[in-house]
Amino acid sequence: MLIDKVTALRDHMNEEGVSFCFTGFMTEEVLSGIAQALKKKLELEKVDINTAKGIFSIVIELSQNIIRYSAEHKTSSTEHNDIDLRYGVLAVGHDENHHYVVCGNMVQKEDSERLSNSLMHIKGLDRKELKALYKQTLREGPPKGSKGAGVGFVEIAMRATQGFEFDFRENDDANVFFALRATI
Amino acid sequence: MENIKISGTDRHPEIDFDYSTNRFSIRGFSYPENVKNFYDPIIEPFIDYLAGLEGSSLDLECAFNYFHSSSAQVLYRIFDAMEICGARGNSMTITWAYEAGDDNMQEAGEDFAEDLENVQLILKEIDPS
Repeated sequence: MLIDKVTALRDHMNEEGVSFCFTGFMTEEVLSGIAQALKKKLELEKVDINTAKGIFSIVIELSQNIIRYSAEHKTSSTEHNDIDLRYGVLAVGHDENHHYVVCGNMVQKEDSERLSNSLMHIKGLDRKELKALYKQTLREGPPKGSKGAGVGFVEIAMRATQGFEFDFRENDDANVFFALRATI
Repeated sequence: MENIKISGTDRHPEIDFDYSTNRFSIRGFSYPENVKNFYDPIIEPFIDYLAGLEGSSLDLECAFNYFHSSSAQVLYRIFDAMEICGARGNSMTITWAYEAGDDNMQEAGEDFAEDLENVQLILKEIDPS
């Protein structure tokens, strides 16, 4: 039954404290919409300025990550128009004590080890070391293969006042599913 | 030099670059869809202009509500060029405005200031918008 399926989905999200959840092809336009809605919701709830800006910042960095790097994508290229749609999951919610942002997307198997090592390294740094890495990376330019400034996860680590966790699960021969949860 | 005035949106800041008075400002949100497309036409002429500046003074106001990590890289490019310009004897000032209570934005200003020897960075707390 349609109503059972939709109710079950809604109830599951409610139980998890999810206030926003997007699963599908993430685009810059989707990100703009989510960001505006999120901003209004945080204002409405009078969330502390630092917490609100932290959540906002993590949502932006993680969404752009999906747009740039998700290995699950559909492309079409014509003379005048390149379309590259990348699939991912993004959720914002609140558990008993804290706000959280969750993301998930496929990554290519060959990139997953580098990503995992990099995240392990970032996870072990204190605030001062994170700042130093942030500065150094911005100064030296993005690492090979990066489509942005290469400091998105460092930014997330600095904003996630209660830390972050991440995990990988093998999907098929080519891809690994990557998930991250940042807590504020 | 031609002045540049761009209205702000949800995603990119308001730009007011007045070369006739040497007063420049960047205000608002900064996470443009394409950082390069948005910033390069603004900051490349600015950096060229700084390279030719002698015995002048220049003010840049930065009043961000939010900037993402790729925008931070653009800020480093601007500030590094101002630092070099200041080292040649020009008087360079950055006013770093942040919303009262926005610890992260205040800290970002302090961190930038740490690296600047020949640019005066003034932190300015403003009332929440």
